[in-house]
Amino acid sequence: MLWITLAISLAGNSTLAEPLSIGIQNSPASTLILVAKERGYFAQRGLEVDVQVFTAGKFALQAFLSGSVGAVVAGEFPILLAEGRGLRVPVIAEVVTTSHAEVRLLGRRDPGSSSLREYFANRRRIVATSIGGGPEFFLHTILQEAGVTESDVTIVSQRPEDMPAALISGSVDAVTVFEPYARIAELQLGADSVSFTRQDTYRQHYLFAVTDKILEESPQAVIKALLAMRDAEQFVESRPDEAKEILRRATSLSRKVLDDIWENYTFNIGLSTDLESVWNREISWLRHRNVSGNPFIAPNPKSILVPEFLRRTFDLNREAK
Amino acid sequence: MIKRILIPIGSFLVLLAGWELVIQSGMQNRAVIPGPWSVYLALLRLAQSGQLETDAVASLRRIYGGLAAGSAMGVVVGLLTGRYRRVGSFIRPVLDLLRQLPPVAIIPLVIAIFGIGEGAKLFSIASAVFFPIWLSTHVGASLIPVQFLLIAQSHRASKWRTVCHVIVPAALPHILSGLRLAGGTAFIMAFVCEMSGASSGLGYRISVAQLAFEMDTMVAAMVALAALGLISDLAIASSFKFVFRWLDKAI
Repeated sequence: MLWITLAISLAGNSTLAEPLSIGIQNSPASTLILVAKERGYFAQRGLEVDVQVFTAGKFALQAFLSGSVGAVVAGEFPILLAEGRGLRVPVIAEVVTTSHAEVRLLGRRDPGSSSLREYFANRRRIVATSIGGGPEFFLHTILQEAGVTESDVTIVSQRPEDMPAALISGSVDAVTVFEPYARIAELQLGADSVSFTRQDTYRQHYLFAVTDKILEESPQAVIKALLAMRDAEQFVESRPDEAKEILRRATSLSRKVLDDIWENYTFNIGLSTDLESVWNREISWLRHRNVSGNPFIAPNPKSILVPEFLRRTFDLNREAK
Repeated sequence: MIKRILIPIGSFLVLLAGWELVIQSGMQNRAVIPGPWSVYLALLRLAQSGQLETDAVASLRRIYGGLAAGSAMGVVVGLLTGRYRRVGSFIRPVLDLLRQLPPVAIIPLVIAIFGIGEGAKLFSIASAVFFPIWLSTHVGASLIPVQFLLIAQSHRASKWRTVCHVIVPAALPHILSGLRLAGGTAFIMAFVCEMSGASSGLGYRISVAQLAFEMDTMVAAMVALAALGLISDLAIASSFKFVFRWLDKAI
């Protein structure tokens, strides 16, 4: 609590800009960070932010764990994997509080199958997924729902950015991937595509985490970053077109793709009540998955979360009003 | 004999001791860089579960398949460009331009054209090994002493016999050194190809272990890949020495 108190007292007063490097995913999930950077909200709060863009959050997380970046936006699944191997990833907040059909199973339309069960029953499918990311867990849940065991399908590891090409070339029957790659593949396949999603079963949570070192040595930087993201929330809500343009420039995504998927997100910082239950479901799967005979040592989900900073940020916002 | 066995063993022991020392000193987090003992245990787990064998077989099939296809093409084209000036001046500029590309740079294009199936992996490996073999065959074929060819001519040897009995044997030291270089390239390419779009192979195992933060498994698979590469290189060199005894020094 001492460092929180210290952080609050320093959050608005420091005159020297503090450096903070943030690793993010090339996706709308990173909108608040990109807007805060582009609009100068980080600078106004006294932060000198350097943003590093990766094709997936799990790659940003690897940079985080190697010490190349001090903060990261990554999905809840790779963070859990890292924590399960004894690596520390203190989660401060989510940067997207709701998303709709963001992770999907996308395949070529098959005239003989209208449901997920039929799709997998017709023949042995080759499915590409982003191993070590949320789409891998999503694939597991969707297969379970279809009554298909993982040995009944061929699962191949694929980088998210390569999935549209793999699907279009016919090398794989389907992919499980997040946006924007799902939409890119869908647009390229056109009427040939079929998409399955289970919003009630799984939603990827995009989490903002910082290193223990930053929490201990400059906790005020965390509060400043959250306050800047709160400023970005207002901008995104009031001027979505400009926010999309910022995202388009930073990620090189086409405006068409962004327009199509934009409404699927709610760009707010927060912490969803279902995050711990998602982690618990993932833990029970990981305990049985046992890919290389290396047992997964489940962390306590509560120990990953550091919600005090978010609480104090909301308090500061209320006081400011 | 003692020197031949003890010195290499000693160098490995020094490496392992240095590695353990770094881990024990606490300079590196054990979760990030595992110690040799936990890597050994991970290797044992992989072997006992049968994954090591499955992955090694899958990688070797790709490596030798690609090596065979790329080598065959490289030798044929190298002989043509090395012995026939017109063919050489027509093909060489294009090949010289293409060989400047790092082999891994063609992978995105290969995925776009061929997808991610076995054919794409074999093509990627074959195209990477083609260039060192083509170049060494080309050099070997173009440096054949003219007396060799004159002797063949004086014996009224046919073109085919000249190729089989004069040109290829004379170019063989170059071809074989190109093959050994290409062997290493094939291992690199197999690893890169398996990191994405695969469900087996040592490259795949290294990649998924890294993504699952199973660093001990990742390093164990790296050790297996390195050992396989070393064994493969020694096997190639020994078999060449055995088959082409007169070329012992060149090999």
